[in-house]
Amino acid sequence: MVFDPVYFLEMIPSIAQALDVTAALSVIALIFSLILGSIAAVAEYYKLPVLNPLCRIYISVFRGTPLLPQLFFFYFGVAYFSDFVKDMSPMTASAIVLSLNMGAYMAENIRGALLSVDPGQIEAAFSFGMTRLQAMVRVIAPQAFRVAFPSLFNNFIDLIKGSSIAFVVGVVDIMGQAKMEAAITFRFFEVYAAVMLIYWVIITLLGFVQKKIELWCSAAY
Amino acid sequence: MIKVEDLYVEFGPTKVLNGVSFEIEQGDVLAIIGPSGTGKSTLLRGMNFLIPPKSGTVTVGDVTVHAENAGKKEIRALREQMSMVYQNYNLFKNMTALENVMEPLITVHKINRREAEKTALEFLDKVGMTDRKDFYPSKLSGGQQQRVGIARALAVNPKVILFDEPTSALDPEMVGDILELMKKLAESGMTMIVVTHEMGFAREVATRMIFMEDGVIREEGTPEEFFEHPKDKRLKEFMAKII
Repeated sequence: MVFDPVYFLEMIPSIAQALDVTAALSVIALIFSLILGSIAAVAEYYKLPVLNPLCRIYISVFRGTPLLPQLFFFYFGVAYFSDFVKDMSPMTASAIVLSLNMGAYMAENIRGALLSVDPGQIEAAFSFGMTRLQAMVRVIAPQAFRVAFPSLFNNFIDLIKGSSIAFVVGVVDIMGQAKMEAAITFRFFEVYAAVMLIYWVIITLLGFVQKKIELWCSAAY
Repeated sequence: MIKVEDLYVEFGPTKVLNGVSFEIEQGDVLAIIGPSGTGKSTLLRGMNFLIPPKSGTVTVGDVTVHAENAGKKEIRALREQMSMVYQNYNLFKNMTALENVMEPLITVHKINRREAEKTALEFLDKVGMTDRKDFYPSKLSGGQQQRVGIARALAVNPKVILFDEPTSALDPEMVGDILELMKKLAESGMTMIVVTHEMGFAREVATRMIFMEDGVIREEGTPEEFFEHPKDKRLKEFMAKII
């Protein structure tokens, strides 16, 4: 069997058909992981009772275990006890697990960024009678975001790559699409080369975007 | 009008304030002096509960808060009565000079944007910063930042402004400017509590003085008494060293 360039080139658009699924999965998980990560980070920043200890356990579990077992545990394990999970689409289940997983990483990055905001400004906010929420929303978060942005963008890139794991529960993203093509022709080399190329192009393009936004982040104020 | 009674502040096992009491009237300028680490800044932060005192009472205007049963609401009501100017200015770095002055008006005092902007511009003018109103703090010199800090503190119409070593971080040539501005404030009748090492300023502008050491007030009096005939032995030594 020799490398078939024509088949390889055909495979690129054929696999790219499923890009909408990869994109949807990544963006949905990005939104929810940002929300989860922000909540966990703020809970720790303000040492909120009850919520903070719970978030610490969550972060420890999801950073301390690999993504694949997490997905299997949720989709096959939890489904055993919960009809809600059992009836869930693979896409939804993958989005939930990806969000939980990346949220734990983002929490640590956001927390570090919050801590980088000079405490004097926060003291000033409180001294005028601002509430903790006001200080967070008006003063701390806007400054922390610029600090957190580069690492959060890296998290997003990891998320896109990580979404390729969803094929194991039956999501037809670009990886799932590639798997199906390969199952028909057994031309593993061309198919997986094509899918890697697609990921590589996407992530390289995002890298350019990241550079631009980082420049903007460091320029203001 | 402003009354601090028996204020105690502890950091774990370290007792920083050991029962501080004083009282000043409207229009007074109280200069707090003393060696470093004797609780002067902590006293200011205890007064507005940035550092919650262990016990004691703080009264500003008609708001009285007892440390033992201070709830969030009482503390916020107390904080709305006063404002603070910091050694390191502590401007909000994500806001322009104008936005810095507007911010407490909008978020805390619930004044609408247009009114807040009008008030803010008025106070920026008072401190001579109108032409820099759209600058971010990172683009302002220390002296300019402190002017904005003072405008921000004035704009909320406080009963008293707490100054925590407002000139200690400034370049020497800027110190005079800020002291001059504070003198003007004092002359306009603003009640001020100033932690300072600027003895010239204290002598000229203060109406009352406090000497603190080891978390207690060692001597209290007028500038004249402090500079002409200090009684406390440690105050005498301190004055001899600093003048």
